[in-house]
Amino acid sequence: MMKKTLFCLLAFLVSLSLFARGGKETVTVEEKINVITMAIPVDPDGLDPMLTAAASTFQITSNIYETLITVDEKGNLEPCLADSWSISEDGLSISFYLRENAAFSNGKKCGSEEVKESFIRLMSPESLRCKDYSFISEIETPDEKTIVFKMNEINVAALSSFAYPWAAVVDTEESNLKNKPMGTGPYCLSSWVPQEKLVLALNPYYGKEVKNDGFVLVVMPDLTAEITALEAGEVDVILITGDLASAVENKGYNILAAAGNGLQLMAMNNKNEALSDVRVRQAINYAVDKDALIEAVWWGYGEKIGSHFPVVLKEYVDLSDAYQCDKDKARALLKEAGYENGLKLRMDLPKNYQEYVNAGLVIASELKEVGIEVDVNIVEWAYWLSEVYVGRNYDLTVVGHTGRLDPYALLVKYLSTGSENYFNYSSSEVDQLLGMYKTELNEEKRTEYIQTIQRILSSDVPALYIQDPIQIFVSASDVYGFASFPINIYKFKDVYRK
Amino acid sequence: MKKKNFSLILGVFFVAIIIFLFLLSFVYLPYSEDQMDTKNRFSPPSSSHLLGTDQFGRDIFSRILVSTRSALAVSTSSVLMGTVFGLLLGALAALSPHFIESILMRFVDAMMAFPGILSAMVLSAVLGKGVMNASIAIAFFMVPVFARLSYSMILESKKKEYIKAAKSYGASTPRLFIFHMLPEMFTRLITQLSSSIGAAILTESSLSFLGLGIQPPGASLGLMLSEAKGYILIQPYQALWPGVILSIAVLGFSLLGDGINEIIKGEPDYE
Repeated sequence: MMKKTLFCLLAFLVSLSLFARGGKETVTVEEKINVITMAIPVDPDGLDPMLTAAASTFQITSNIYETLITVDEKGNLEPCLADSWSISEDGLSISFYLRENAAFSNGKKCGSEEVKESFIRLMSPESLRCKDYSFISEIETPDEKTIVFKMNEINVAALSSFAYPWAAVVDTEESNLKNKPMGTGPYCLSSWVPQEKLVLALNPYYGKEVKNDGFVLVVMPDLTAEITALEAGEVDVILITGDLASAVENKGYNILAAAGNGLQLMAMNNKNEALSDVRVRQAINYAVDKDALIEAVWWGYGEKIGSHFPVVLKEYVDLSDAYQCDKDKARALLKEAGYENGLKLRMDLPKNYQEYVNAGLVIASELKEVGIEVDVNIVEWAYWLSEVYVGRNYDLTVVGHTGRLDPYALLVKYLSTGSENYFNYSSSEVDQLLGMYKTELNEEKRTEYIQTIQRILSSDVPALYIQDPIQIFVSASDVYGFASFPINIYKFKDVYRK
Repeated sequence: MKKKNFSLILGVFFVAIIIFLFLLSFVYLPYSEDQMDTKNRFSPPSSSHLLGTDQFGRDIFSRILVSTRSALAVSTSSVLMGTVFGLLLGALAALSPHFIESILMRFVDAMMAFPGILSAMVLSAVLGKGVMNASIAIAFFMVPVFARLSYSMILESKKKEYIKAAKSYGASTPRLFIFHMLPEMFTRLITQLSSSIGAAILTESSLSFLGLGIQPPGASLGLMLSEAKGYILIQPYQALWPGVILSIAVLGFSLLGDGINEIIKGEPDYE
């Protein structure tokens, strides 16, 4: 009796397993051959592009959602969800013409109405970037494929603002985009294990070429672990810092080193009694040997700058040699300003960015030589954001700023009344030039204004401008096509395995 | 009983190395611990840099010498603080009426239940970073260890006849504690002290490793290890020396404690 029951049970199990295998063979994304794995340092804080400020999140959402237009590696605007666009003669309206058969990954068509809904969501107070899009006064949808944005006044930065990843078109009917992203991009979210990995499957309704069969993102906070994972073949693409470049060189990997359209600088609080004196700020600039600093911290992977402007943008003026390291000149300037008997400053450094901590330590040691005693204070990122950046309660700090496509968005940090002016810098000349730039339509004049601002910043030095960092992407020897862009996006669809 | 006390010999030898480095740091320091020379980073050991240089070109030997200062300063001060407060707390509990004794000892039990490194981390996060606060944080978790020790030893000695005799002559409780009980406790206290110093050095390094102890550009063994961690693939030797010194220090003090313990055990019992 016992035997019979056992036999029946076994037969049942065998048939069950046959049944399970017999159905349509399903291959998970990770089992496919042409799937690329990339290591990322932090887990994204949700996949809703309008509800995040994290650069690391946009790098992922830019593959799930599409913006109306996008940029190429040099920062030129390119079609994306919109095939083409036009600007009216008075400069007060921009029309986009959507591509054929655009659809969300759930199969829903994406027409001009859906795009309009998405932009209404972007401009609503719940979105983090709503203020950036307040220049849009009206959105019109004359037909299925056309969407027109109207403005009340001329804004030269308007067109490029449609390329930023936060301006992506989302399916507004999906209520939980943070966990269930729904876009028209090349990929859709297949699975997400928080703090571990994200699996992106192909969006079946995308309709354009994708060079791989899926993308897997593995969360690895430690760079050393990333390099060993690459060596073991567990990941195909990693992003490293210059100090570790020697660990991957000459091993057959594809290495892409590209200027990242970012800026790294040591900000000085212009409200501080000593630092309000331009001579003290210039003395600090003379005291630091930037080349040695870049070599020491980033192993030379960086483009030296002399003003608040990344080298990749076309309005760039090379001011990087304005302050040649000269310790005697620095001491003389300090003496002139009345600080020949020494000066004490506090430096707050964000703990989770080891490169900024290292840069701060090197600068502090250089400043010590000219008689500026720096009290280094390593702080948490949350404290840095609230006390240093927003609270402006600091003397010196080292940090990086991410890229913008339009110079105005980049330089508005120096507007004396600007909310992002954590330098507490104030110059009526810069304020005036920024105001003129905003409404000037003549390209040449606009470039001239921006270049003048760069020169003013270089002589007023509200910060010690260090470098435009070079990002180093390393991919396995058989993986090609990874590119770097001037804004915080990646294009996974162009990466392939040979 | 002429078995050699290897723990003691080895312990004394290792501790002597650490003390020697500590003393050396005051008389001979080749470079200042935060003096950078970025052009000569990661240079191998040579006559000018005995143990080579780190990622900023700072002299590793000088940094290790200075590290022993903070290691010994933080550990001894925290253990001494822990001893004094623990001793008093234990004595207070042992010599008080029963209900106060229960309350005090349950409080000590609760403190004991916290993992040491965790309470030290919480405290240094609350008090702020730096040498002084690290000492206080480490002392905090040393207190229950010494409180229990003194509590049990006092309970034991309360039963002894010379204490009873002293008491019958009218000696006050503080007098009993200071003149009659404390001297007897010394040997065992010293054992505990020595192994606690080892634990405290390790905790100080852990705190610095996690960024809560000594702040850069200062030098501490834990901090040096944490900085070397990022370069383990390209410069593995940078992590070697602070690791070796840390091992010697911790091993030395615990072996010393074991060795002293062996001597005490070897002595004939009092009764």
